[in-house]
Amino acid sequence: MSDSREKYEYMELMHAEIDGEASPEQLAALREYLAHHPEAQIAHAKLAKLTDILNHVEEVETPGDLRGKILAALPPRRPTLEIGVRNRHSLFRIPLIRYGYALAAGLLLGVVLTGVAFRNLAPVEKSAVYGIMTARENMPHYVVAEQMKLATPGLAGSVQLSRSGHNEVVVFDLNGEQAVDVEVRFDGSRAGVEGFSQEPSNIRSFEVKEGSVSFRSEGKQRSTLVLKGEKHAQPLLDLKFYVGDKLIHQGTLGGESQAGSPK
Amino acid sequence: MDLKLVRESRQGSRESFERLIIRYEKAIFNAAYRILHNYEDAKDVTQIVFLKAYENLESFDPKHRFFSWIYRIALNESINLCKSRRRFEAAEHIRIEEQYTPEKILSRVELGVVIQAALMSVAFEYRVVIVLRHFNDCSYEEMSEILEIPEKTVKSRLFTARTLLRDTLCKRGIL
Repeated sequence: MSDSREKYEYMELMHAEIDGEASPEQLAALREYLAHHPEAQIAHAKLAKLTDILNHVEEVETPGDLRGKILAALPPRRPTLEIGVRNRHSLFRIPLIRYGYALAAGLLLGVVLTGVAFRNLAPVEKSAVYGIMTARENMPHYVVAEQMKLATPGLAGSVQLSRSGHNEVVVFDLNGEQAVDVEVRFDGSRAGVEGFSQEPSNIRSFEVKEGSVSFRSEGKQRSTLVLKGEKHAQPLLDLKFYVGDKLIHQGTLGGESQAGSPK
Repeated sequence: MDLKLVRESRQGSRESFERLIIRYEKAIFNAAYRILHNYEDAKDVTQIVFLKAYENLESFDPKHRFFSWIYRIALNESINLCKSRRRFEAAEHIRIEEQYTPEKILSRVELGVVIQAALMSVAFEYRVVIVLRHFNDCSYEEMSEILEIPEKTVKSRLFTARTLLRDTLCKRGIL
């Protein structure tokens, strides 16, 4: 081993020693080396002094109001349901079940495309509208991609996802005993909200953020959400339904792996 | 402990998240301060770190350590701030360096100021390893996880960082 290489390796060993990461054998070797190399002793002493200074620099006091400011800025949080979509995904990882799903999805796609591709949706009355809803007027051109049935205590109805080119229309036909808060999350980099409307009655509670939409549905109400993204972006929609703070249903619609969408 | 608090926070417990803040606010604030050398910036970064952590708790992978995760957020936020403030740093260094000479260094507080100035004179990647090792007491393994680099690279960066610091302090007559 060359002198410079040896010197470098022992310097590394000095750092490991300072950091408490050297083995007993390495420490013994280092002590042996230091005993025979006075210049290494000087370097070792300087390193030890530097470390000592660094380790004794006083901590800066945390600002007294910091924690309060953080807590005050925290947005309200809703509990995460640990079942439903997560379990579905874990089952999906099992090959046999995954192929079973794929087969079922293929069959469902055939049925859906045959049965409803050219279906005219019932005309809906105009009401208060957020954004642009012209896409909805062309609903006959949309292909139904997926439907979710809701039959949980206190909430019945369905959610239907239809697609056409750049647009995705999600129609929530909900019938809740109490007001239901709906939260839709999606990849905000792939799609954005184009419009939203509710019938009957005006929009009472509606909030749009990048990658999420939330609104309130009361009684028997149809809410229509139009998303627009790149052509055939097909974002996965993560849906959550709350009564008060209680999550009563959760599921997903769409995504590239789903059947029924134009590729 | 942390994982339990994270799980409870995910379920909506603000109290549990507050306990996570209590556990790590001082470390995060000090790390940000040592990296940025600005009290208000460190305060902002600490706030952003915890807000981002709270908003993204679902994406936290329990296979990793919570503190590694938030340190990583803190470093990223500090990098962003460093980039936006870079043009002001050089002037700041000179001002601090000129205030102290070996004869004038009397207290630990003043020594801390000189060390901080020396820290600011080394590149960000070297400053970070010094801060994590000496001010946050992280092991090589923990630093490797936080910085997402191999332990070998951690050792080599620490080696270089200390050499640079040593040379700077030698020039000032501190070592």
